[in-house]
Amino acid sequence: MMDGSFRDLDEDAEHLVARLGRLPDAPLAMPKQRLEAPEARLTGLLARLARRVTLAPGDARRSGH
Amino acid sequence: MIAPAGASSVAGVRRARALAFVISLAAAASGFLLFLQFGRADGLDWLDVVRAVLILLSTFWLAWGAAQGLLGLTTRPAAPAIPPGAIRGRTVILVPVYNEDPVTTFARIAAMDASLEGLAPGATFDFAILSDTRNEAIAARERLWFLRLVSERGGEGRMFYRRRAQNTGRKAGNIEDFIQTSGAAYDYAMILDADSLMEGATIVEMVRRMEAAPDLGLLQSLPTVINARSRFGRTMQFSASFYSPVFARGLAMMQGRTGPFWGHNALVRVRAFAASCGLPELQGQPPFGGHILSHDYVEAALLARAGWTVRLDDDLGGSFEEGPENIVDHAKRDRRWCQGNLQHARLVTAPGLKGWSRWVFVQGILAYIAPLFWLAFILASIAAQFFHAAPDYFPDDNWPFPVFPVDETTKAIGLAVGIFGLLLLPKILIALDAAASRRARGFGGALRATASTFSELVMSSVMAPIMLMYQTRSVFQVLTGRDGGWPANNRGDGRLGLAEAWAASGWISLTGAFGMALVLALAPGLVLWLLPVALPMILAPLVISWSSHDSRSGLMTVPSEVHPAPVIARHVEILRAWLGDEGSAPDPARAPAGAAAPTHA
Repeated sequence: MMDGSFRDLDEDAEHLVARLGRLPDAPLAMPKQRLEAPEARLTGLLARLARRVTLAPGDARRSGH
Repeated sequence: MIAPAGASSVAGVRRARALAFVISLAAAASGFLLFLQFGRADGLDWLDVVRAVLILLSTFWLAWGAAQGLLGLTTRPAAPAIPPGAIRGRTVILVPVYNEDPVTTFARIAAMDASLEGLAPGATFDFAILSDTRNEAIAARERLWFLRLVSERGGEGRMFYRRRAQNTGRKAGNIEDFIQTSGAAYDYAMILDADSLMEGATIVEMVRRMEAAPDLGLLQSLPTVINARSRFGRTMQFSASFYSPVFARGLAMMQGRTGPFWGHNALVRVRAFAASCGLPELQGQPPFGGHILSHDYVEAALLARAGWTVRLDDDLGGSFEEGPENIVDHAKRDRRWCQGNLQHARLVTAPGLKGWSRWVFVQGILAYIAPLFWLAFILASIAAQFFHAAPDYFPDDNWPFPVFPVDETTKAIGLAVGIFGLLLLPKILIALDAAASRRARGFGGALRATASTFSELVMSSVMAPIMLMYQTRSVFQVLTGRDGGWPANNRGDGRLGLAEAWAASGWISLTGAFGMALVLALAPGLVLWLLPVALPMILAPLVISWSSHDSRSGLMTVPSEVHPAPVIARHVEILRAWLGDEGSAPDPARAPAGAAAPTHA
């Protein structure tokens, strides 16, 4: 593409960008990691402090709700 | 002593960590005991104990920072020995963007691409612009300027642009989306921010280091703040250029295999990152639940959990970023970081993490909670005036002479000196070290660097109470469940008029004035003690507005102003060429030909 055509781009720009900008097709899996400990008491405490955090089912049972 | 980056022995790391903990605990215990002795002079009460505990916690945190700085002065960074040879792996440089000005951002890409030219023949260095921009006008400009970028740099087939329909997971989700689409095409990914700029030589060196260390999962460089114009911005820039390398050295000595990730200007091994760093959504609603905000700390912890080394190589130069130009923008960014760091409270107990990673989470939380200890100490000291019992001069009925309380004023003064010492000593020692070595030359020479240090100390002392109030509000908002969202960074010139400054900080001013009036009426003896805190609060709008304006001072000079790195100079050249000679301060809302009328996100 020449510099001169740069300012004349309109709806074609989108197609051109889609073609030129297309990322390589080479997928790589990114599995979700486990981060929250099932018995994280700190989590439960903060959840209560934050109020708006939904209680995990286990927490709800322990707290008698 | 010269310490090659990444060469810390296990014993050396343990020694550094133990030393920092011992110094911090000793300082905290001393502060605690001194305050108890001071309080005991007129009879120990429960408020004295509360205040002593607050001193203990605050002093520990201050001393921890000071210890890191002091450790950093004991060694000098040095490059590790890397065997020569051609680069075998393929590298992609990821530039996530979110409503930023595309001209400035893409000009940085052009500058980095030019900087890479000829450095590693045969090696692959692609660029991928990963747009999460929500503003249609800015997105239209991104497309146009991408075409200009590809055209000028001959980037077809090696410069990519894609915009996500949904910005799920914010920046971490953006990177994850790239890996799930194209990750298998690359061995290494240099993760940048929109305002990142890196020398080609630094990028190549980082790839070489990663190729030389097969267990290295992430290599973090130390970004230097550049292009600051305002008084506030230049103060932060000086601080980041002058002090941060020494504190980073201390951190590097303690990191072992569990170094930091600061979210940008870092190289990751793509397969390690993909296998270890898929972030789940946390249960519940934001701010504690939902997507992980401060993803970088978590990704570093996950890489370490999977057995990969995460390393900060503080000897690497040529790594730059930009910072906020005023206190309000700084506070907005800080609000986001506050929420992200407090969210880590849910991850401290995550299964399998290294102990140091858990401590990193705790440090991040303390960074926002510790200032509240000071506020609580001030409030408790005011309250103590009302609970204070009159001294009993005749404690013994059988003793006819009065017993005067022991004067423990010297202990209170000693405590105050100790606390200020922890705050000031590392910075003063860094200035002396820079003056003794050649490092001060880049900062305008030894005299100017020392004067800049004292100016920075004054500026940071004035700004500290204002930041304390913003941080207190942030923590309160997060704890009461208010999500701060994902505001775009303001990277404009950042000048604030008095009206704007008042709108953002009038509440601080009123709080300071009200608090001072209350103290004046109820505990006038504390007025002088509280003035250094209250006065900057009362004057917050003035301070914010004044500090947001351009600095014309010769103080706060940094090396990037005296001798800009080649990639910085190249960026300015490209920007001028793209926008004309007035293009040094582009307006993100200004549309080039072909773009729709701008709107604000």
